[in-house]
Amino acid sequence: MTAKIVLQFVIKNWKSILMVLLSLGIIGKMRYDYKQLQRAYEVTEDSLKAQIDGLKDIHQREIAAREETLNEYHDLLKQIESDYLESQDALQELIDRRREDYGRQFSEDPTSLVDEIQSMYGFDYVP
Amino acid sequence: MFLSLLMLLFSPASADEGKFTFLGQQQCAPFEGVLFDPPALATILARQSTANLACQARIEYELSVEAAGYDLEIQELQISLNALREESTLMITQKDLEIQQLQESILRQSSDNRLWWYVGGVATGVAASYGAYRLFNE
Repeated sequence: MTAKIVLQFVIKNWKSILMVLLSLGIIGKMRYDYKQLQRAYEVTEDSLKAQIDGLKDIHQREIAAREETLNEYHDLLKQIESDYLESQDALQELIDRRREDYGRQFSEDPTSLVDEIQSMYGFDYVP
Repeated sequence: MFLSLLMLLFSPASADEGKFTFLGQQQCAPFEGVLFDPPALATILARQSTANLACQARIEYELSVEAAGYDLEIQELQISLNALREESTLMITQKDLEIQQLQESILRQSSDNRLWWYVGGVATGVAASYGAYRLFNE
Protein backbone atom coordinates (compact mmCIF):
# COMPACT_ATOMS: atom_id res chain seq x y z
CA MET A 1 0.00 0.00 0.00
CA THR A 2 2.72 2.41 1.04
CA ALA A 3 4.92 1.36 -1.85
CA LYS A 4 2.11 2.07 -4.24
CA ILE A 5 1.61 5.52 -2.77
CA VAL A 6 5.35 6.21 -3.05
CA LEU A 7 5.41 4.94 -6.60
CA GLN A 8 2.47 7.14 -7.52
CA PHE A 9 4.20 10.09 -5.88
CA VAL A 10 7.40 9.40 -7.78
CA ILE A 11 5.53 9.00 -11.07
CA LYS A 12 3.63 12.16 -10.45
CA ASN A 13 6.68 14.21 -9.37
CA TRP A 14 9.52 12.53 -11.23
CA LYS A 15 10.72 15.76 -12.77
CA SER A 16 10.99 17.50 -9.44
CA ILE A 17 12.69 14.50 -7.87
CA LEU A 18 15.13 14.33 -10.78
CA MET A 19 15.81 18.05 -10.46
CA VAL A 20 16.46 17.70 -6.74
CA LEU A 21 18.76 14.73 -7.27
CA LEU A 22 20.68 16.51 -10.04
CA SER A 23 20.92 19.67 -7.94
CA LEU A 24 22.27 17.62 -5.04
CA GLY A 25 24.79 16.02 -7.36
CA ILE A 26 25.90 19.38 -8.73
CA ILE A 27 26.13 20.89 -5.25
CA GLY A 28 28.11 17.89 -4.04
CA LYS A 29 30.49 18.19 -6.97
CA MET A 30 30.88 21.94 -6.44
CA ARG A 31 31.63 21.42 -2.75
CA TYR A 32 34.20 18.78 -3.60
CA ASP A 33 35.85 21.06 -6.15
CA TYR A 34 35.82 23.90 -3.64
CA LYS A 35 37.47 21.66 -1.06
CA GLN A 36 40.15 20.75 -3.57
CA LEU A 37 40.74 24.41 -4.39
CA GLN A 38 40.87 25.23 -0.71
CA ARG A 39 43.35 22.42 -0.21
CA ALA A 40 45.53 23.77 -3.02
CA TYR A 41 45.31 27.26 -1.52
CA GLU A 42 46.30 25.93 1.91
CA VAL A 43 49.24 24.05 0.44
CA THR A 44 50.44 27.23 -1.30
CA GLU A 45 49.84 29.28 1.84
CA ASP A 46 51.78 26.83 4.01
CA SER A 47 54.60 26.80 1.49
CA LEU A 48 54.75 30.60 1.41
CA LYS A 49 54.68 30.79 5.21
CA ALA A 50 57.53 28.29 5.41
CA GLN A 51 59.45 30.32 2.80
CA ILE A 52 58.91 33.56 4.71
CA ASP A 53 60.00 31.98 8.01
CA GLY A 54 63.05 30.48 6.34
CA LEU A 55 63.96 33.77 4.68
CA LYS A 56 63.60 35.62 7.98
CA ASP A 57 65.90 33.12 9.64
CA ILE A 58 68.44 33.36 6.82
CA HIS A 59 68.38 37.16 6.91
CA GLN A 60 68.83 37.24 10.67
CA ARG A 61 71.83 34.95 10.41
CA GLU A 62 73.17 37.05 7.53
CA ILE A 63 72.85 40.27 9.54
CA ALA A 64 74.54 38.65 12.54
CA ALA A 65 77.40 37.42 10.33
CA ARG A 66 77.77 40.88 8.79
CA GLU A 67 77.89 42.53 12.21
CA GLU A 68 80.49 40.03 13.39
CA THR A 69 82.58 40.64 10.28
CA LEU A 70 82.30 44.39 10.72
CA ASN A 71 83.37 44.14 14.36
CA GLU A 72 86.33 42.01 13.34
CA TYR A 73 87.20 44.63 10.69
CA HIS A 74 87.10 47.43 13.27
CA ASP A 75 89.25 45.41 15.66
CA LEU A 76 91.72 44.72 12.87
CA LEU A 77 91.86 48.43 11.97
CA LYS A 78 92.54 49.29 15.60
CA GLN A 79 95.31 46.69 15.67
CA ILE A 80 96.83 48.05 12.46
CA GLU A 81 96.65 51.60 13.82
CA SER A 82 98.25 50.48 17.07
CA ASP A 83 101.01 48.61 15.22
CA TYR A 84 101.67 51.65 13.06
CA LEU A 85 101.90 53.97 16.07
CA GLU A 86 104.28 51.51 17.71
CA SER A 87 106.42 51.43 14.58
CA GLN A 88 106.37 55.23 14.51
CA ASP A 89 107.54 55.33 18.13
CA ALA A 90 110.29 52.83 17.35
CA LEU A 91 111.26 54.89 14.32
CA GLN A 92 111.40 58.05 16.39
CA GLU A 93 113.62 56.28 18.91
CA LEU A 94 115.88 55.19 16.07
CA ILE A 95 116.01 58.75 14.72
CA ASP A 96 116.92 60.05 18.17
CA ARG A 97 119.66 57.44 18.55
CA ARG A 98 121.08 58.24 15.14
CA ARG A 99 120.95 61.95 15.90
CA GLU A 100 123.02 61.31 18.98
CA ASP A 101 125.39 59.13 16.95
CA TYR A 102 125.80 61.80 14.26
CA GLY A 103 126.23 64.48 16.90
CA ARG A 104 128.98 62.40 18.52
CA GLN A 105 130.49 61.65 15.15
CA PHE A 106 130.62 65.37 14.37
CA SER A 107 132.91 66.03 17.30
CA GLU A 108 134.77 62.73 17.46
CA ASP A 109 135.16 61.55 13.88
CA PRO A 110 134.35 64.30 11.35
CA THR A 111 136.09 62.47 8.51
CA SER A 112 133.69 59.56 8.60
CA LEU A 113 130.84 62.04 8.81
CA VAL A 114 132.13 63.72 5.66
CA ASP A 115 132.25 60.34 3.94
CA GLU A 116 128.75 59.59 5.07
CA ILE A 117 127.39 62.90 3.76
CA GLN A 118 129.17 62.35 0.48
CA SER A 119 127.81 58.85 0.09
CA MET A 120 124.35 59.90 1.19
CA TYR A 121 123.93 63.02 -0.94
CA GLY A 122 126.85 62.98 -3.38
CA PHE A 123 128.02 66.43 -2.25
CA ASP A 124 131.66 67.47 -2.63
CA TYR A 125 133.43 68.36 0.59
CA VAL A 126 135.32 71.68 0.57
CA PRO A 127 137.67 71.91 3.61
CA MET B 1 119.11 88.74 7.09
CA PHE B 2 115.45 89.44 7.54
CA LEU B 3 114.66 86.25 5.62
CA SER B 4 116.88 84.15 7.83
CA LEU B 5 115.33 85.70 10.90
CA LEU B 6 111.85 84.84 9.63
CA MET B 7 112.90 81.31 8.83
CA LEU B 8 114.34 80.89 12.27
CA LEU B 9 111.22 82.25 13.90
CA PHE B 10 108.77 80.17 11.92
CA SER B 11 110.82 77.04 11.48
CA PRO B 12 108.88 73.91 12.49
CA ALA B 13 111.98 72.48 14.09
CA SER B 14 112.58 73.45 17.67
CA ALA B 15 115.85 74.84 18.96
CA ASP B 16 116.80 71.34 20.19
CA GLU B 17 116.49 69.98 16.67
CA GLY B 18 119.25 72.33 15.48
CA LYS B 19 119.91 75.71 14.01
CA PHE B 20 120.96 76.98 10.60
CA THR B 21 121.76 80.21 8.85
CA PHE B 22 122.72 81.53 5.43
CA LEU B 23 126.24 82.56 4.66
CA GLY B 24 127.25 85.03 2.01
CA GLN B 25 130.37 84.86 -0.12
CA GLN B 26 133.58 85.58 1.82
CA GLN B 27 131.56 85.63 5.02
CA CYS B 28 133.94 83.30 6.88
CA ALA B 29 133.27 80.72 4.16
CA PRO B 30 134.72 79.89 0.75
CA PHE B 31 131.31 80.14 -0.93
CA GLU B 32 127.85 81.27 -0.10
CA GLY B 33 125.65 78.59 1.41
CA VAL B 34 123.79 77.36 4.41
CA LEU B 35 125.33 76.67 7.79
CA PHE B 36 123.82 73.96 9.96
CA ASP B 37 124.85 73.44 13.54
CA PRO B 38 125.71 69.84 14.57
CA PRO B 39 122.22 68.99 15.94
CA ALA B 40 120.58 70.24 12.72
CA LEU B 41 122.97 68.25 10.61
CA ALA B 42 122.45 65.19 12.81
CA THR B 43 118.68 65.57 12.41
CA ILE B 44 118.96 65.86 8.64
CA LEU B 45 121.20 62.84 8.40
CA ALA B 46 119.16 60.79 10.85
CA ARG B 47 115.90 61.54 9.04
CA GLN B 48 117.47 60.77 5.69
CA SER B 49 118.97 57.49 6.90
CA THR B 50 115.62 56.38 8.34
CA ALA B 51 113.51 57.63 5.45
CA ASN B 52 113.31 54.16 3.93
CA LEU B 53 112.15 52.68 7.20
CA ALA B 54 109.55 55.41 7.62
CA CYS B 55 108.37 54.89 4.06
CA GLN B 56 108.26 51.13 4.56
CA ALA B 57 106.23 51.51 7.75
CA ARG B 58 103.80 53.84 5.99
CA ILE B 59 103.48 51.47 3.03
CA GLU B 60 102.84 48.52 5.35
CA TYR B 61 100.23 50.54 7.20
CA GLU B 62 98.42 51.61 4.02
CA LEU B 63 98.62 48.10 2.55
CA SER B 64 97.28 46.60 5.77
CA VAL B 65 94.35 49.06 5.78
CA GLU B 66 93.60 48.33 2.13
CA ALA B 67 93.92 44.56 2.68
CA ALA B 68 91.56 44.76 5.65
CA GLY B 69 89.06 46.69 3.54
CA TYR B 70 89.24 44.15 0.73
CA ASP B 71 89.01 41.27 3.21
CA LEU B 72 85.88 42.87 4.60
CA GLU B 73 84.41 43.16 1.10
CA ILE B 74 85.29 39.53 0.35
CA GLN B 75 83.76 38.32 3.60
CA GLU B 76 80.61 40.36 3.00
CA LEU B 77 80.33 38.94 -0.50
CA GLN B 78 80.86 35.45 0.90
CA ILE B 79 78.11 36.05 3.46
CA SER B 80 75.79 37.31 0.72
CA LEU B 81 76.64 34.31 -1.43
CA ASN B 82 75.96 31.88 1.41
CA ALA B 83 72.68 33.61 2.20
CA LEU B 84 71.63 33.51 -1.44
CA ARG B 85 72.54 29.83 -1.65
CA GLU B 86 70.51 29.09 1.46
CA GLU B 87 67.60 31.12 0.08
CA SER B 88 67.80 29.26 -3.20
CA THR B 89 67.89 25.88 -1.46
CA LEU B 90 64.99 26.86 0.76
CA MET B 91 62.87 28.07 -2.16
CA ILE B 92 63.61 24.97 -4.21
CA THR B 93 62.84 22.67 -1.28
CA GLN B 94 59.60 24.46 -0.47
CA LYS B 95 58.53 24.56 -4.10
CA ASP B 96 59.26 20.84 -4.47
CA LEU B 97 57.19 20.16 -1.37
CA GLU B 98 54.39 22.37 -2.66
CA ILE B 99 54.43 20.62 -6.04
CA GLN B 100 54.38 17.23 -4.36
CA GLN B 101 51.42 18.18 -2.17
CA LEU B 102 49.55 19.71 -5.12
CA GLN B 103 50.20 16.57 -7.15
CA GLU B 104 48.80 14.47 -4.32
CA SER B 105 45.79 16.77 -4.23
CA ILE B 106 45.29 16.40 -7.97
CA LEU B 107 45.58 12.62 -7.68
CA ARG B 108 42.75 12.62 -5.14
CA GLN B 109 40.48 14.19 -7.74
CA SER B 110 38.58 11.94 -10.14
CA SER B 111 40.46 11.25 -13.30
CA ASP B 112 39.52 12.90 -16.57
CA ASN B 113 36.96 10.44 -18.10
CA ARG B 114 35.22 12.74 -20.54
CA LEU B 115 34.36 9.97 -22.97
CA TRP B 116 32.72 7.86 -20.27
CA TRP B 117 30.87 10.87 -18.93
CA TYR B 118 29.58 11.58 -22.43
CA VAL B 119 28.54 7.99 -23.08
CA GLY B 120 27.00 7.70 -19.63
CA GLY B 121 25.09 10.94 -20.12
CA VAL B 122 23.70 9.83 -23.45
CA ALA B 123 22.76 6.41 -22.07
CA THR B 124 21.14 7.94 -19.01
CA GLY B 125 19.18 10.36 -21.21
CA VAL B 126 18.00 7.55 -23.47
CA ALA B 127 17.08 5.38 -20.50
CA ALA B 128 15.27 8.23 -18.78
CA SER B 129 13.36 9.09 -21.96
CA TYR B 130 12.46 5.46 -22.55
CA GLY B 131 11.42 5.02 -18.93
CA ALA B 132 9.27 8.13 -19.04
CA TYR B 133 7.75 7.00 -22.31
CA ARG B 134 6.89 3.62 -20.80
CA LEU B 135 5.54 5.15 -17.64
CA PHE B 136 3.34 7.65 -19.41
CA ASN B 137 2.08 5.11 -21.87
CA GLU B 138 0.96 2.78 -19.07
